[in-house]
This record gives sequence, structure tokens and C-alpha cells, in this order.
Amino acid sequence: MTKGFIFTLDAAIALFFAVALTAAVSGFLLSSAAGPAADVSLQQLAQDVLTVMDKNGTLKGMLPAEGGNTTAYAFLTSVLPANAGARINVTVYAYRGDSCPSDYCSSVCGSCSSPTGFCACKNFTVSVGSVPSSGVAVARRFFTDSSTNKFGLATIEVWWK
Amino acid sequence: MRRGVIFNLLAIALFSAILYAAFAMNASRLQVFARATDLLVAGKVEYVWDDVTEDATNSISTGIVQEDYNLTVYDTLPPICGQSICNLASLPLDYVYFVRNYSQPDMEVRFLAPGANETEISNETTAIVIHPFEMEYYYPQYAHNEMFLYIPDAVTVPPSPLNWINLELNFSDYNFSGSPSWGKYWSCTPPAAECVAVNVTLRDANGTRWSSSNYWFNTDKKSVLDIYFTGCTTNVNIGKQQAGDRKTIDVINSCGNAKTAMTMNFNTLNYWVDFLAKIRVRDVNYNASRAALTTDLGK
Repeated sequence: MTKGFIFTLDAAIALFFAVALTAAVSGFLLSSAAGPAADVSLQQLAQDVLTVMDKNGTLKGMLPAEGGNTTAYAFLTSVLPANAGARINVTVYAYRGDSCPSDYCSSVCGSCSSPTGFCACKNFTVSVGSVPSSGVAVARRFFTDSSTNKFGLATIEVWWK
Repeated sequence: MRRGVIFNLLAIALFSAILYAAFAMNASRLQVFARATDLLVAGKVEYVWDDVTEDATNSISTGIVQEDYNLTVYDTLPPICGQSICNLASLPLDYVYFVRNYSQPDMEVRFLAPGANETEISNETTAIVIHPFEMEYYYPQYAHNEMFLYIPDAVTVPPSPLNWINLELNFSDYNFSGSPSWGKYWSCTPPAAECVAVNVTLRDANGTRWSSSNYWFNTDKKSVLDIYFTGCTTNVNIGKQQAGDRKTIDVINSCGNAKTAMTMNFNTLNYWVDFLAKIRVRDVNYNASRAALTTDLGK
């Protein structure tokens, strides 16, 4: 009777350790399979979206003083996979040497902020979905228009839903 | 007793196998992470390099077309840059400042002079160099309406690799006031060492075409083509100003905007062009970088 109880207890403890170890190993396995691969594909997606926006002229179309939000939202919804969300921030600058007087900024931008060499002409953010606290890939892209001497910076955050 | 020992040994063996598998998995996982990080860093560096290179080459109003034996440089004098006048030397610097100010802190972007390793690009180093002849297409510092083609003396010595130069100027704002004429013309007879064949064609805003009848130029002396418009004059100078000077073709446009196309015909396909500068992008955290000439973009 006592011997049987000890055997059963021993088997139960052994089973517990086996299950715990198997769970730990499975955890490692799952995280190693999905983690980096997901990071790479997400980063690639972020870079691809901005590259297409730059090369097809969408970003350059945001350089004028007004607008851009609607275009950006329409573009993101058309190119993003159904299981991905994104938020894009676009800032447009004009350059004027070491300092950037507000009258110059207002003549170029219509309005002005941060007049320190580069006038920040406009800034807007468009989001498709809400940004999670982790698992977000970030890419940035410069764009310019030499005919108007304006410079733009687009920053995109992409995540899997 | 013996059965107990066997059970214990079996248990220890199984336990060890599971532990070994866990360690192996962990090692494999770290390896995958390392490779994924390499991939991410390489992808980011390549991406930023491509972005900056494309913008920098688009930011200047100069185009280079290399087609078999012909190399053509398209340009605008002065370049049209909206609020401020800019040229090949100044506009990329604006862009350089922009990239310096607003690039990611972990991504270092540097514009390097052709052939240099660490020298930052400056007004003086911005030139299009045609190798191996070391001919240079460049702008005098801070001048917005003038460009030079420097032809080293050795290039014109027979058998010269340079067959001829075709220079076209299309003026978009002014019309000819009288016919353009050579104020000074120094001819030569090929195959003299100083002889260069230059064909000059001009068009005014009305589309009126003028083509030079002079073809062979003694580039040891300075020939001057005067182009008269209503209210201003533009010049094309061919040859050295004086003995000891550089041998140049010099276009000074003082009359609005002019689109230029300079075609050089060589007797060899063995030439190549260094354009603008090298652009180097480095991930500061991982010390991974890419540095290449901007002309490598299409290769």
C-alpha cells in the first residue's frame, strides 16, 4: 500500500517535470520561429510602403502647404495587407541658411514653426488602426522637390493586427 | 532494488535529453535572432542609401547619359530652384544639411568626395569627372550661371581619345539681337596637338537656330563666341585664357535660363564617369555600412 503510493507520487512528480520542460521547450521553439521572421517582414513592409509612396510621387504631392492627409490615408488603406495597421507622420521643411526668418517661412510655407535653418511648413499624422505598445516596425524616408526647394520627412510605423 | 536503479537511470537519461534539447533550441534561437538582426540592419542600410542617393541625384538639374561612344551632360544655367538660385554645388549641400539634421540618430549618412574616404563633400569637390581622361565638368565656386569643361592637355594630343564635342544651348527667355559671332577665333589644322573639334548650336526663345561654321579650335588660345540678345550678352569661350591656364570650354549665361547639352564623342568605350560623390550610410550600433558612388545606382 505504502509502496504503491510512493510509486504513484514519483510518477506524478516526474510527469509534472516532463510537462513543464516540454512547455518551456515549446515556448522557445514558438518564439524563435515567429519573432525575428515577423520583425524582418514587418520592417520590409514599412520600407516597401514608403518606397512606393516616394517613387510613385505620392510623397512629393504632399509638399504643398495644404492637404496630404486624405491622400495618405487612401494610399495606406489601398496598399496595406488586411492584417496590418500603420501610422504615418509627414513633415515638410523649407531651407534658408543658418537662420530662417518667419517672414521667409510664411512666404514659402504659408505658416511656420521651428525657424532654425529649416522652417517646418506643415506636419500631419494619419493612422489606419490603433498603434500597439510593442511589435511596431519603423521606417523613415526623405523626399525633396528641387523646383520649390522643399524637403520632406515621412516616418511610418507598421504593425500586425 | 535493481529495478529502482534502472528506473532512476532512465529518469535521469530522459531528463538530460530534455535539458539538452532545451539548450540546443536556445542556441538555435539565438542564431536565428543574430541572422535576423543582420538581415534587418543590412536592409535598413541599403534602404537609407537608396533613399538618399535617389534624392541627391534628383535634387540637381543635371543629367548624364552615357551611350556607347557618346557622353552627354544635360544642364540648366542657372538651375531653376524656386525661391533661391541653386546649382550643382549648392543644392546638394542643402540636402546634406537636411539629412544631417533629420536622419535617424543610429544611421550616419555621409557625402564623400569622389575617390576620398572621409572628406565631406564641399563646393570645391563637386565635379563630374570622366575617367581615365580626367576631364572635368564643373562649376566655378558660387557662380550660378557658369560652367566649365576642363580638357587636360594630354587628351588632345594625337591619337586623341576625344573625337569631337557638340555643345547645344537653348535659351528660353531671350531672342537673338543680330547673329551670334566669333569675337575671336583661333583655328588649327588637325592632327595638331592643340586641336579640338567643337560644334556649337544655339536656339533662342523663338526657336531661331544658329550653328557655328567654325569647327576646329586651337585650344592653346581663347576663342570667344558672342551671343547678343536684346539687353544682354552671353559668351562661350573655348581654349586657354593664357599660356599656363587650364584648357576649358566655358559657358557664361547672363541672359535668363538656358538649357545646355554637351556631348563628347570618344574613340573608345573604355571610359567611365564619377558623378557628384560617394554616399556612405552606416548603422552606428552595428557598424554596418554601405559606401558607393551615386553612379552605381543603376548598375
